[in-house]
Amino acid sequence: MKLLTKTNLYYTLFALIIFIIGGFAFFYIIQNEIYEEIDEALLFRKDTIIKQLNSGGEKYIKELAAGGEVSINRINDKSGIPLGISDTLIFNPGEKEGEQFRRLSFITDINNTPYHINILRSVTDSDSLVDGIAMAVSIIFSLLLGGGALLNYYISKRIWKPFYSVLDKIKDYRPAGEIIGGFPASNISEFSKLNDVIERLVAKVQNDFINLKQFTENASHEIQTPLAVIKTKSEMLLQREDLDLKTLKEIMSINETATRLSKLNQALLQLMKIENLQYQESEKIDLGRLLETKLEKLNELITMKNIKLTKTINKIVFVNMNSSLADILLSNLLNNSIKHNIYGGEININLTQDSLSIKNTGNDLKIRPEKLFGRFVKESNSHESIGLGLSIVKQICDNNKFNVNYIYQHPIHEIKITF
Amino acid sequence: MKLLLVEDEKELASDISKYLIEEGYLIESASTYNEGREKLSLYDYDCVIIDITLPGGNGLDLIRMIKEKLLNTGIIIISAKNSLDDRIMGLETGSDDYLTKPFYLSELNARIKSILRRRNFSGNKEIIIDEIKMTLNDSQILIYDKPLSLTKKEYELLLFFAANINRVITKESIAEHLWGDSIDTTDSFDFIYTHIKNLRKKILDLGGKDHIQTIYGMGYKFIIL
Repeated sequence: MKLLTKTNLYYTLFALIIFIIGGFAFFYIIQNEIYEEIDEALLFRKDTIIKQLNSGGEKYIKELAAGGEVSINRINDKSGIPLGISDTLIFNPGEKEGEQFRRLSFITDINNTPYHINILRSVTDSDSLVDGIAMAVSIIFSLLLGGGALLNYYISKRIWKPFYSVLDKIKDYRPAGEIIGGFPASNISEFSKLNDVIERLVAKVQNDFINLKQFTENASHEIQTPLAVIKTKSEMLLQREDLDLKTLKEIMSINETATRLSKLNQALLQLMKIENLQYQESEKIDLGRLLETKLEKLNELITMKNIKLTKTINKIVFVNMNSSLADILLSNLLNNSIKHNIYGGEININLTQDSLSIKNTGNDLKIRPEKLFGRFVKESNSHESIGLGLSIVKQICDNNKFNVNYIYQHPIHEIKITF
Repeated sequence: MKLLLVEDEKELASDISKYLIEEGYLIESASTYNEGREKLSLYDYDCVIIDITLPGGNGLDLIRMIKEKLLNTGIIIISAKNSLDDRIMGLETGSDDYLTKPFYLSELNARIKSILRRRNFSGNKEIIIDEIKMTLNDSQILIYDKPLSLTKKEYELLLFFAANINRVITKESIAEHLWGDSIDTTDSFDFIYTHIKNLRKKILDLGGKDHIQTIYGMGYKFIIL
């Protein structure tokens, strides 16, 4: 929910309460005013009636009662008759409902005869009063709502514009991606403060990122040289004829470990570079051709492992991606399909317009399939496998917004990439 | 043959020198950019082995300097950087080969020999080891003048051995030489075994000697009997 919608909702709720309370207050105040007017009129009428009766006597009684507003009855007993002003309902046969009246009841003597006199005055129907007030209140209320919505639209369009443009800019921000900046200036202090803070934050993130990247790269390269020294020294030692076989084997193991460490280092560096989007330039890659070239190079390994290769390669599949990444991607996938294959197994490659599927026979997976793309996940206990190949594949696919899936149906492992 | 090694890591430089001296080369070493520059301006070398990142300057500038002198000098870059861009940049300046650290000395040795052979236009490109005579222009091998037919990999393997005679060559270095990174080493050992078995058999069948010694668990050694 938008901030404005939310605040507006609260305003509306508050306004609703105010309008309800206000409506009732309005109703009672107006009703009160009306009663007061009527009561005043009734008392005035009482005075005139008494004056008329006192001067004119009984001949006026008929005349007065003729209007229907005044009723005059002769009484014997004064007690038991309610006096004063009160509300009363009188049935109106025309409208078939009670009509509200205000009644002034009093007793006066005419020629020493007591008469009970009632004066009635119709009160404006309270129902129609309520209707009128409700109508007025709802008109004001809807004006307020509609106006609020319009105002909201205007505000979010104009006043919040810098905010949304900043939001748009930082939404897809990645330190590895392009540098962002140049936020639109705003005369609203909160927004300009936000801009300042974000700009400083981005600059810091960018700076830290570059430092970290350089550090990692440098560290990774610097490690290679000492490793080269270890490897060269051990290789020199292997040439020594005065050493016994046992010692030589230990030296050999040092040499192998140094090799592994260096490969690991290189693979991690590669993964980091891909993650950091350091392979930017993309071009149209002829996947079919690249695949054929790769297969040709691996042909010997496939033959030596007695693997049966079947392939359906669409000749006109082009994807836009970095050529180095395409090379790494296919190499890793094909190498995996051979490395993890069994002697006399099968590889099936299927390249279509929108997907590449590589199926190969192999031993059962010892780890959970969803973990396969994780780092340092090894299928075998083999020391040779570094366990980064598929993470690199995944990262390349992520960078290019390809979908990569692993499917296992005993004994076929399938990696499918959807472009 | 006179070589120049420009490498700032002393230990590495001394081992490379030792290995190459044993191969019969004359080696001079430089450990900084300026030292390398000085040596290159004073003397001519058959092959130069250069590290890119040097104290005082960039190895690529040294390569440009060699190219300006228009000498028929072989150039091998040895660098810790192994990205494609670095390789392309290195080769574009005119170097003959690019070797990523860490590397096997046997590999470096084989590559130096290959470059020297390619650079040596006048001489006949022949390698003669005992009864084996390899003519490299047409990839022909004769054993006691009888032609030996080898597969591509067997040929590469024999050439690798020929470059590293009397050296212990590990299985890993053979695997890397023949297939690069694209192989699981456990697999490769079987393949290497097969290749060596076939190579040995083919040489023996033509009456050749058993040059390839197996050093159990480690690798092989090509010896002159």
